[in-house]
This record gives sequence, structure tokens and C-alpha cells, in this order.
Amino acid sequence: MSQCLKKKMLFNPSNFKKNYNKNINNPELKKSLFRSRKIVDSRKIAIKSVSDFELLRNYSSEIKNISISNLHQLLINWEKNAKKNGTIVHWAENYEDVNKIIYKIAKKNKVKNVIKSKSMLTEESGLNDYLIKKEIKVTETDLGEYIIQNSNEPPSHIIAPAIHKSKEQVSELFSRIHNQKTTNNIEELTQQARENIRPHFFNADMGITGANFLISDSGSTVIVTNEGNGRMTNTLPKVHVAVTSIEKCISNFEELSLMLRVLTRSATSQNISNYISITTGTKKQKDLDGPKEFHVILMDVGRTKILESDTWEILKCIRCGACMNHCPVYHTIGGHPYGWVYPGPMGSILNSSLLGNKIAGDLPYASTLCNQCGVVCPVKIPLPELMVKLRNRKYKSINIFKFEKIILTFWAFISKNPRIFNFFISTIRKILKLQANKKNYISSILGLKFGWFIKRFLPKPK
Amino acid sequence: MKVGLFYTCLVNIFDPDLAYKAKKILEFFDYEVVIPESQTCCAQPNFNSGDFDNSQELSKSFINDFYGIDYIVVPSGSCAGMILKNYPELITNFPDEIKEKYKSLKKNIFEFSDFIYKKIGSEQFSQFSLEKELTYHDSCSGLRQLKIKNQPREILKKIKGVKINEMSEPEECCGFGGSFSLKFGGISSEIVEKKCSDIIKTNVKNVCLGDLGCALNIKGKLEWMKEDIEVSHLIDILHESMFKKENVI
Repeated sequence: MSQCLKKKMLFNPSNFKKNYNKNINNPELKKSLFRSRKIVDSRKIAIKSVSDFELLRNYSSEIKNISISNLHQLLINWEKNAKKNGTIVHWAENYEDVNKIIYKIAKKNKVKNVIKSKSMLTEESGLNDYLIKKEIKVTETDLGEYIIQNSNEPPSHIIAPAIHKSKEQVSELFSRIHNQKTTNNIEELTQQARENIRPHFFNADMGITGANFLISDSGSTVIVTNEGNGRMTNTLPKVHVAVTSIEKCISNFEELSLMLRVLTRSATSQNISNYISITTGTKKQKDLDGPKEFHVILMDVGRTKILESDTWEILKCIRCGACMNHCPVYHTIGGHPYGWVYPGPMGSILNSSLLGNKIAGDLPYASTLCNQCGVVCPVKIPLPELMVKLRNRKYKSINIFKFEKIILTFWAFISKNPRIFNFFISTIRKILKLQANKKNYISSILGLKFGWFIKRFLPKPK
Repeated sequence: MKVGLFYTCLVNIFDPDLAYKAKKILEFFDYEVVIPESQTCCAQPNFNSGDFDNSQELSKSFINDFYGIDYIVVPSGSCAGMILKNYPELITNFPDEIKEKYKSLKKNIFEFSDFIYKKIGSEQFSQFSLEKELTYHDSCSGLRQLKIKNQPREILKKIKGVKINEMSEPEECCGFGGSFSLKFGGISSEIVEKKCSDIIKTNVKNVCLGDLGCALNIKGKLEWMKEDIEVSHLIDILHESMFKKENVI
């Protein structure tokens, strides 16, 4: 089996249970995930650098509310302004469109080498595999993306895609692909990647990036990065293609300045990221650098459908990753079991909204609803509420004879009949008491060791 | 004043004594405690699993069961959170009569520690004493839905001899999550292991909390880890300080 196919089979939300079980028992991953928890403390410090972070959350939430309710007008205005600056605008309804448009641009410009930075949407559309099949070389230039591209893995976090890997694992990978000695020195490893990625920047004839924001008033795209490769990707090659989805549009730079204040603090605990790259059209006469051709692909792929549904608030997401950084489930299983581009709480909602119940309907159940995500979300998306709404969607679609539905229907029935309810409760008490051992705990019920009893007992009723 | 006690189904199954203890505590402060016999479930298991239709009907039963009582006290942050925060959406299509009933009811529903703190006052507990060092776990729904954080701590601190030794991340979820703990038992069990190791690190022999769901989860894990640490509901501690003869000054 080819590695690609193997990756695809494992990387599927409907395999959630199988995939997380493997991850729970992976000690190396456990260590990596434990290290990543440091971000919780650093965010606490970062948000203290503004006098009232809650107020900023309120503002940015409102900005996204208004932008999304006004999306149609903002996008028309954005397109008009983008075209004025020489940007070529494409609208894509599905993933096939996205890949085809990019290939068409590549063919026209005789592109052989593509460099990429910060694009989750081409991850959604499976662009890399598509272009490689067409014999175009694709190189990811973000350090994390470079690592996972070379180890043939999907990302496990939206802003730190290789967070599941230890430096030892990276060292082993690099020694293999760079033909160098292994080293556990992170700076040396970074330097190795830098030296190996650099030639690709100069050889590339097309740069592909995403866009964190679209600015309607100026027709610009904005990317927020830390490594500097984003800026090189969108200025060095003669053709730059930015792929983004329609919900990223906001009105103006005043709004952007506010959004950036909450985004970088929530994402990487920084007051501001190292780079904010704003692209407004192609290279002008007096400009020192910039692409000759600038294309923006605006993807819908299910977004308008979400917009009309009861989970529309997930479209407010600015991809900071704070929800997964604060999620006890994500901390336990990592990002891969979610089986698609987006992990953690926002991923459960977005994957399930975009791919549907049949494929990703289990994901919204994979949460304790503790709301640690909801209280840190910089745009105040009520994540647990949306998960419950998606559970409702799934619940309505499942067969009445499914075990879970039988139990819940039974529970509701007895709850409506207090006498039967009390009889049932006292019976349950008796059964549980009989199951307990001398030390007053229960390790299975009627011989059944279901989920609860994995490395855990149940206290005996008092 | 009359207080209606909604003792919750987990108390009913695992620790009915807790309801009697709560009753005794409230009666000590001159409240008349009523326990409607027709009470059953707040609908949380159905609601969290996405069964909105049955949840609606159960919310209606709850409203009818408790309407007309001066205050309603719930010894669980998640059940109180369900009633206070999730019912409004569930009852939107109900007749005005039910909505009006809920509106008047809502003002008077309290999570247990919140009621003690706001209506009785933590100061009252300075008359009691109990030699106990404990660590406090914040239950998610109480903390994030109802902002229960200082209330139990303020009350506990007033009792002479009670010392709170905070664990490193008291606000972290214990991994219970109702049906989550059954459906995704493996994940749930890993999450509570982290919680228990935080508890163990404090070297304290008692964990106090306000939700029986978390208590079963933490207790079950501690037993599995062979740790001799007691898990108590806030009600247990208050009751012990109030009614053990030697503890009354």
C-alpha cells in the first residue's frame, strides 16, 4: 500500500475511536502533548498585557458577527477593490474547482516548483497530492509543515502542525532527509531546515499562501506569520496565489488592528507576531519586490450552507488554536484522531458541519462540554453549544433501535413517571451494591466492563 | 421561607444521605425544606446527547414540580447550570403560562454553595470548627456556566480549622462529562488521571467539590490508583462541621 493511501485511510473522522485508542497508548506522544500545555500559562500572561482583554473579546466577536451578517456586500466590495489593484479573483465552489484553478494558473505560467506557506484550505482540498500527480514539485516552507510533509503526515494542530513530534523524532527525520548527523539541538535542526528550504524559495515559480483576513475596503489579503517564510512565499515567485475562504472578510484596517490584538495573544501568546504581511495587488512600478501576477481564490465549499444553519457561529473562527490548546480531550489524544484538517473543539464542529454526520458525526460527542474552549475563544464562539446542536443533528438522524437512543428514550420515559423512576433508581442502587467488592468499589457491572471501567472503578452507592 | 431541594439523580443513586444532610443544614438556618416527590431528572443526559424533544418535556416537568416555592437549591453545578442556562432555549415554543412560571422560578434557583453564600452568608460558618486540610476542585459547569468559584472557598475558610491547599490547576476538567465518560471511557480515564495526580501532589487527604459526577469520577480513579484520599461534597464538610457534637463551639 502506498504511504499516501495509508495516510488517507487512517486520516478519516469516521475512524475516530480506532485512532484515539492508538494515541492514548503512545508514550512519546503523551510527552509531546504534555509539553504543549505550557501555552495555557503563557496565554494567561499575554492577555494581561492589555488592560481589558474581555472587552477586546467582545469587540472582536461583534466585528465578526457584523462581518458575517454583511458578508455578501463585503465580498463584492472586496472584489471590486482587489481588481483595481490588479488582483485576479477566482470564486471556487468545491475542492475540485480550487485545485483546477491553481493547476490552470500553473500551466499557463509553466510552473514547475511551488512553495507554500500558511494554507489550511489547500490542506482541505488536497492540493499537494493533486499537483504532485501533475508533476509539479510542492515544498512546504513553514518549519512545522516542512516536518510533516517530509514524514508524510497530516497536521495535528492548526498553527503548530508538528506539535505531536518530539525533537528526537525530528532529528531522526532530518538526519535521513538531509543526510546529516542526528542532533537534539533545536537551533541546529532549525538551521538545517532553513538551509534546505532556502534554495526552494529562489527556484520557485509560484508561491501559495492562505489568508487570515481579507480587507474589504482595500481589496487586500493579510497573513500572520512568525518565520518570515510567508513573506518570501508571497514576494519572491513571479506568481502568488492566495487561497482563502469567504468568511475571512472584514471591513477595514481599524477592524484588522483589533482582530490582530486578540489573534496573536490567543494563538502564540505574543503581543504581535513577527510578521504581518498585507498584500494589495501585484508589484507596482516603484515597488522593490512582489509578484507579477497575484491570484486570490475565494472558496465557498460548504460555507454558505453553514451560514444558513444553526452552527453559523463557527464561521467566526479566526484559527488561533486556543480552543484546542485548552481542551482536555485534545491534550489527551492529540490532533490526528479527529481525522481531518481541523482538530480540537473548532475542528469537531467544522469537520462535522462540512463533512456531515455520517463521516464526522462522532466528533461533537468527543467533548466533556467543560467549556474551557468557549471561555478562551477570542471571538466568543459558544463552542460547547454548537457541539450540542450538532449532536442533536446526529441524534435525529440515527435509527431508533440504536443502543444509545433506546437508553435515552427509556430514561426520558421513566423521568416522566416519578413512580417508575423511583423504582428504577432503587433497583439500580441494589444492583450496584451487589456488584461492589469488599473494598466498596465496583470494577464491572453484571460482568460488563464498559467504557467507564477502563483504568477506573466506580464507587459503591452509600 | 420555603426552600425546595432538587437533589438530582446522581445523589438519588449514589449518596441519598447528601440530600438529608443538605436538608439539615438548611433547616439549621431556619428554612423550611420541601422535597417535591414528583421530581426526577433535569434532562441533562438527554440534552447533552442531542435529544432535544425529550429534554423539552422534562424541562416542563421540572418547572411544574418546583413552581411556587420561594427558593430552589440544587447540590450540583451541572444540574443548576442546565436549568438556568439551557432551559431558556428549550422552552421557547411552550405556552406563555409555562414561560411565565419559568421566569419567576429562575430568579430563585441557586446552586448549593451559591445559596449559602448569598442568602445565609459565609460569616455564619465561623461558629463551627473542623480540623481538616483539603483541596478544592472546581466543577466545570458550576465554574464556567454559573461562576461558582469563591463561594465554596469563602464558606470553607470561615470554618475554624479548615485549611484549603489549592492544587495546581483546580479549574481543569476532571474528564467526567456525563455520557462522555461511558462513550469515550479511555479518554475520560486519562483526563481524570491528570486531575488525580494534581490532587496527590498537594499531599492533602481530602478533595472537596460541588458536583457528584466529578466526585464519582475522581473517587473511582483514586481507588484504582490505590490512593487513600477522601472525596467529599461541600455538603459533607459543612454537615460534619455543624453536627458533630464536638465541633460546635
